[in-house]
Amino acid sequence: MNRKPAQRDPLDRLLDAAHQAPAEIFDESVPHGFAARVLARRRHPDSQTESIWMLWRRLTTCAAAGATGLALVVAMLPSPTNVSPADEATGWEHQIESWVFEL
Amino acid sequence: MALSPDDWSERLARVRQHDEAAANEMVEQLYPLVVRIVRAHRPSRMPEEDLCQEVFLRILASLDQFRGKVPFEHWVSRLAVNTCIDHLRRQKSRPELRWADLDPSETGVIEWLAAAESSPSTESSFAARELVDRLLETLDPKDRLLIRWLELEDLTVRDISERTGWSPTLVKVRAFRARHRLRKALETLRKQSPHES
Repeated sequence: MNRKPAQRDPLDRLLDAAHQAPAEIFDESVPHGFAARVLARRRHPDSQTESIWMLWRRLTTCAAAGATGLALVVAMLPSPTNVSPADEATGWEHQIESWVFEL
Repeated sequence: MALSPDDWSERLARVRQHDEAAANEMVEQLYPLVVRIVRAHRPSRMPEEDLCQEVFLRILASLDQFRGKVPFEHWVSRLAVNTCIDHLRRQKSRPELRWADLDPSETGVIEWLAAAESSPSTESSFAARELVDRLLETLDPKDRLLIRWLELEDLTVRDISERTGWSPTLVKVRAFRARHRLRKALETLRKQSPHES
């Protein structure tokens, strides 16, 4: 049924208008090291690794948000991005933990 | 490029045998599908990467439950959607949106709704999108997903049914109720407009 715009249901008009907004163009490329991070977490599903992981994420997020001093320290932390079997053998999560406790 | 069911079957068999290269390829192949769902439905405070990682960890942990009855991508979509819903539920507070919470471009949209103008400008359509996003945040996560898919992403009832595992009837009933709740939220807002007579 063709109705004048003002007579149409306001919700339909709002949704139509929202629908007309040009779609945002998102980057869907895989972030560097993403798969390695997922697989490292899969290999270490224990809660200690998870909590250290979350701590590492928060630190890097704070550093990226502009905490310059923190950024310097975080840059020295071994990143779970580049975990290798050798790192795992030496316990990379414990290495991160020791660094964090020294902060 | 999308993989055929046979290609997936072969790759998943390798992933189940802890073939790291196959798991790596699987994550990279599925990332665009997962990130699209996560971007549209993640709680505002949850970093995108964390939620994407969680989806993939769930995929890897429950891979043995995939029986091949639906395409693998549909199964992954359901897991991604359910992971987002779980996190949205944890974000318990869904405060009512009030007039005072709106910015000028959003109040402009409410005023435009009351006027007889035929179509919105590009600027108004962006503001309308933002207003819809904010109204959706006041709804239940499932209602939010349905409105977004049906009204903003042009998915069909069948698409949603495949993505969620809900029957088409359930999708229609839920969508009807979700629209009713969204309309109510919009009406509450419009009544607070100083220009509403």
